[in-house]
Amino acid sequence: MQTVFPPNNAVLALLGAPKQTEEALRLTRWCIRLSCDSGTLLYNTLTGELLLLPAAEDTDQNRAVLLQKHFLVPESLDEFARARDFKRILCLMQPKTAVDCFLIYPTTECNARCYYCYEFGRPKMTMSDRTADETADYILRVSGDSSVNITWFGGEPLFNSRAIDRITDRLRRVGKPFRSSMISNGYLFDADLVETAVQSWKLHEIQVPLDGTEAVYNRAKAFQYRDDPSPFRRVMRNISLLLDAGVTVSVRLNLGAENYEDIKSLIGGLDAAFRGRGNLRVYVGMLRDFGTAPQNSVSWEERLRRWVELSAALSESGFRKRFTLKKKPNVFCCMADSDNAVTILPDGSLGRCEHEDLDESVGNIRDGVLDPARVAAWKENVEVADCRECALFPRCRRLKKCAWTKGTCEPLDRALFFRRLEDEILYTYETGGRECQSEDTDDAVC
Amino acid sequence: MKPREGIISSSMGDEFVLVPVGDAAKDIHGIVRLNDTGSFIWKGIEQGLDEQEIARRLTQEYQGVDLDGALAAVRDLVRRLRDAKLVE
Repeated sequence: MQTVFPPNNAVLALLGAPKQTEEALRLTRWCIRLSCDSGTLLYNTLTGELLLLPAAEDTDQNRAVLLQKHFLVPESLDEFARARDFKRILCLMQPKTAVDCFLIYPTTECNARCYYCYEFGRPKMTMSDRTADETADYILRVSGDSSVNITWFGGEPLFNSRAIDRITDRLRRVGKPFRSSMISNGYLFDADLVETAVQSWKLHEIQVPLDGTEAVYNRAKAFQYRDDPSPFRRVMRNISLLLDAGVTVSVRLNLGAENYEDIKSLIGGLDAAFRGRGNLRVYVGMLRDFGTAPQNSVSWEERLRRWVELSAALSESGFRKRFTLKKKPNVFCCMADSDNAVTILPDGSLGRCEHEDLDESVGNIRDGVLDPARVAAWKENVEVADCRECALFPRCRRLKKCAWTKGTCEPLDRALFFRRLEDEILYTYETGGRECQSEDTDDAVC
Repeated sequence: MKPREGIISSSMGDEFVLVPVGDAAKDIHGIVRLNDTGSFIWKGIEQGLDEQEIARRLTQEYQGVDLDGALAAVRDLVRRLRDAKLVE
């Protein structure tokens, strides 16, 4: 038996050495088993350790070692209670850090009218010059000596690039180290703006959604530019300009109920246009039901099958980045429960999540956080009955207030989580246990 | 007598652990595990009780423990916790 990927030492220290016992042992419920070319891979979602059990060996031969490594546990051990305590302690152990991730809305206005947009009905606001200046001052005040990551969000952030200019100018003038990423439909870029983005905004990554091939995309996006015969072509040109400028472009293919075949064709088109471009990543994202998109009538099993097939096609094209396991355990779900991140709305309100209602603010850039109770509410985790038996539980964070999950655990979400983790396990094995840089390709970039 | 700032106490399955965080983690390395009696005494320290009162409550909680024996146990653990910089 061989360790492919080591456990996290802090986790081991918390768990302590397993006690010798006369009791019958069983495999931990936090174990994921996968076959590979030389035997069986055993991954412990609690300790983070990955073992390879060669085909010629079995668990009985390695009983003592597997007990020592928390893969075998006494029959009567309440693993769920222990894992729950473990997750809670891990959160408490996190050192207090400065706020260094800012998701900023220069505007909530947008130049597109996507039929699935979850921001329909939100008030339209654009950041004023004064608020932009105050936003920069707030960043300087709360980030201490830290280098800062900014994500430009909206609406369409380029609809108010003036605010981005003002904020980044002010940061640059005082020598504040920062870099930025953006979630944008990409339409408003041109060669000059790409240069400004790279030089002045320190833009290093952008997420651009594509909903289909040319005709499908143009229909789905419904841009306000009636005299432009094909916004799709302009966006493709801009992706090319961004790639040429060295920006990492993450194209999110929005998979809904109706566009599976079209997304397949789109992948072929991207392959023809961009194969070999190392800074282009493409992944499939499921359109979420925020109550605004049409009901998805396709079963979750079929949606999963489509996701797997499209992801395989992206791997074939070299567009899908694979990830290894990470040594650091998941402590937070996302920016909403992290202490180092905050959202800033066009009026200077502070929030926790880019999907929250705008009246959920926790303070403002002038006075700071005014509602600690609301901040604490964003840290509340929720469990469902299935958590008790789910191998993902030690790694899973599910926020009670999350607009995506709404306190539930949908079979599709869980299946996608499993698929991604299984791919990380296999990729870690294939790369000999090397740890690659951690990244999240399915959400805002902070 | 009180727990040092930066010491998290928590159940961890069927165990009770003391975990240093923040500044406390800089000079206390590792995690302390307490047995049932130890965690009972620790909770008394957290409540601000003195050694005598913790010992008296121990005799009520555990049968067959006399006050002298309980006080000796409390003093012994408190001394070790002080040596480990977990209480002040």
